Amino acid sequence: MNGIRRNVCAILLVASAAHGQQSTDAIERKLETYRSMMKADPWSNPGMLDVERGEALWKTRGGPMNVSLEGCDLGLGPREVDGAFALLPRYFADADRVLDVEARILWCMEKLQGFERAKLLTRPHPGSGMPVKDFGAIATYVAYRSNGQSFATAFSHPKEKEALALGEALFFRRSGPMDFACSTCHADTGKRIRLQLLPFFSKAAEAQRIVGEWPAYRVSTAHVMTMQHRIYDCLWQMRLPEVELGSDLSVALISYLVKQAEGGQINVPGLKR
Amino acid sequence: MKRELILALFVGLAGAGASYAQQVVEESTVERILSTAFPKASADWLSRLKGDETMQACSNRRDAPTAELARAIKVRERATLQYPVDGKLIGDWKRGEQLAQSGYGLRFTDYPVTQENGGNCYACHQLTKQEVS
Amino acid sequence: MSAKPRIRVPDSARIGEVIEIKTLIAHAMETGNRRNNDGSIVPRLLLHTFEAKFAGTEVFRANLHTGTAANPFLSFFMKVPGPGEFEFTWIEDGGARITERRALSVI
Repeated sequence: MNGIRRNVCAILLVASAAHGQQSTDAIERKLETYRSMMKADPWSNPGMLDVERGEALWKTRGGPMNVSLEGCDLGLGPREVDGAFALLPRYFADADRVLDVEARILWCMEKLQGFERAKLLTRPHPGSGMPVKDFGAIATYVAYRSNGQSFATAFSHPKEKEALALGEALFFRRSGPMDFACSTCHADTGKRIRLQLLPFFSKAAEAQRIVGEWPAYRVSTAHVMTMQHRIYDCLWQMRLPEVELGSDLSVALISYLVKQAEGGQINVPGLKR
Repeated sequence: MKRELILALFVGLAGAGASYAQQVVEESTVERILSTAFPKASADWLSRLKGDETMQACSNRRDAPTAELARAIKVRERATLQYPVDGKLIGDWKRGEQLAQSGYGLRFTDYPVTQENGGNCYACHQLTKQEVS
Repeated sequence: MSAKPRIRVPDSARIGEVIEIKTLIAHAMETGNRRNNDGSIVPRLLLHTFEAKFAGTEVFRANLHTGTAANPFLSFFMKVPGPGEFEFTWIEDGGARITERRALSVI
């Protein structure tokens, strides 16, 4: 029965971890089998529940202003959702900032629907077992509407160029008590932390393959993880402070990752450990 | 504090992909970005964002220092080494493994502190063949 | 706003055809084995039963336990006896029921 298939694979995964003598290759094959079994049926990806939830949130009136988000301009004009994610992050004149999909949704939730920004920024990411928050579900829906398309942000506006350069500089910048930069772990092909493979973002081919899978459903925490949440979590592991949702820093890093992933296909929600 | 320019053109560095920083990224810009990114952080935590001299050197050169720079780093860092006061360089390896296995400590969820900090070694090093991770 | 269950039933089918029905529901499936940061147990709260009826007759049933992952995906096959309506019910510890219906037209 498919419902427990996932658990059989989880047991396989744990069993394989217990046999320390196994080679990395053998473990990778088992992990790949587990992953491909889960990917074989995209319909069954629990992240789809948040895609649908996000769609409902996008189309339903909400907030103190009691308006829907359909009037939100994601870069292609109000009401245009298809393909918008493939062109983010980008500069928005009304915000006078470069924004990624999550920061833009937050902006629209604040300016159009009247939600309080401070509340949106408080504990924005789900704990283990909790579903992704509303803005994250909406971001998953928006990204889903670009499935099959390739990342194609132009990075032509001066502020976009600045964000990109900053993102790259930050990616290689060491700080914190353990001297970590992003590049410390994402250092080369085939690196991993515990059983988690680390994409080598400096190599375009790997970025193209991986970046388009975010937001992704994370099996171990049973929720969708957005790119902002992923970066927040990385910085937590790097022993750095809590990075603010939608901050210039996070948007700069995402700009760098998306640029590296240029031409790579969007295929969300992904499925992660 | 000397203002440093982070040189953006790393064309010659091995392993680096395309560099998008045709413009030089000024340290002041980086500092501005960092100052607004962590509004909940105390001053004590904010000090983590500024690398020390060695970290800045490594960041600027993307971990590929010149031979001269590498020598300077080694000399500087060797001076900070603290050897055990009792002179014993080999300790209890089981204790060592415990510390190596533990990633606890220094993350913002590790306060208030409830146990001793681990070494977080397995984040990057295999150390023993038995360890799959 | 919580997610509605996802259900895939073919738009139409022939009598005698074997069709696949897929369901996906958002639920934490709390096992009762996890602990909070303060050491207290997170109470068990599972969907313990899934029932599928077609045209009033039970066609599939599953008893779920602590080994079932969160956001359970369940699919099953059915030989189409005729037109009718599916009724899917998930029953939670404590008795709460979540029910969804889907019609199946027959060609």
